[in-house]
Amino acid sequence: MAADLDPDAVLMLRVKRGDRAAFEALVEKYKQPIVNLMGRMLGDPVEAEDLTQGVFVQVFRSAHRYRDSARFSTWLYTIARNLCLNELRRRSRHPAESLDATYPDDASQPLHPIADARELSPPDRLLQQELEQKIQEALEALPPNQRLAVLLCRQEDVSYEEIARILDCSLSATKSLIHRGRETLKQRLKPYLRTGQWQDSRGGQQL
Amino acid sequence: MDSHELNRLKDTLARRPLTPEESDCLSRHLADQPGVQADWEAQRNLTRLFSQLADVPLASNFTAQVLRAVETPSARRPRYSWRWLGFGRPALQFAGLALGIVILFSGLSLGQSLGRARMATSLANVVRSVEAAFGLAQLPPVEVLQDFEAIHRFSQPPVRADVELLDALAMN
Repeated sequence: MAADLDPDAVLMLRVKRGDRAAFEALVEKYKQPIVNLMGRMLGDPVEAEDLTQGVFVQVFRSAHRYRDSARFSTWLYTIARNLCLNELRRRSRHPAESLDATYPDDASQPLHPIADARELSPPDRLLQQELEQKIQEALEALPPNQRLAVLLCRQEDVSYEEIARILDCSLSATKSLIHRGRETLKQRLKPYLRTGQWQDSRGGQQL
Repeated sequence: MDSHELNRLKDTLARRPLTPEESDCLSRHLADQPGVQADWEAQRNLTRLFSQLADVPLASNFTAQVLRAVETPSARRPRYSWRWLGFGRPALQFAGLALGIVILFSGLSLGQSLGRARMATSLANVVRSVEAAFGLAQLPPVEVLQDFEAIHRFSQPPVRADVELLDALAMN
């Protein structure tokens, strides 16, 4: 049984029986990966946090439907994917404001920047902000399914087979999505990949 | 390095930077294939770029907020439950409107059918009344009516023969 191997599935079975401490443990473990996924998919950290809360509320309310035949992370990321894609569809029907909108006085500052909590010197912080903005722009240029595949691939604890189940497509189609997404990203970020015009902020080395 | 191992490295590189051992192995392979070195280097740099992305910020009391949200379902309805189930409000409204239109057209169509039936009955009654009033059912055949002389004779009283005149003529 999958529950014998997957400690998160064991926790989720406890949540099914009303164990709030087990639910809290799952939230603590997965809140950052889920909000990272939402933030990079939507380009808005505020919306990402709100949606992430929605994911966990849905997990709790749907606990009775959880089956230990699947890994918990697969089920969790599937809920996240559904909420995320619904939000993107809602935005396309009711565009509120452009994600490229900038503050009126400073065209270089995006309206919804993803703040870097790391300790960086001002020049490094500016460089990093520019880099993050370029990466986010490149991600948002991808179709939603490619973007999702590329971002899920970054979760090392989610196998390619699980990503295929989350995306509801075959393994070969999943790898194709990831490959095409990365090829597009390589093209759009070429100046940053070839000339190494960024700093490795952690090591402080010029790359 | 065989193609299976190469694909495994490519799959790994899509998820995380290579370990020093994996990098060495790849470098030895690429030394013999300079044509694909640039592409592999771009892949490695892209993965390194992604690994440097900052975490999206999260409120320090996020977990507490979630626990509060699930403990008071009446106070905070799930914002996305309708959408998560795939039944957004606009879809429900559209379905209701479509159903209303179907019912309306069905009613109109039924009403028209009943109206036509009643009209047909009324017309039949009118025709019977006209037939009775004008004796139209007793008209002679159409072939007769086509002959003007015959029609003309019908409209005149029947002519009586002048018997005395005929006798007089016969004697002469």
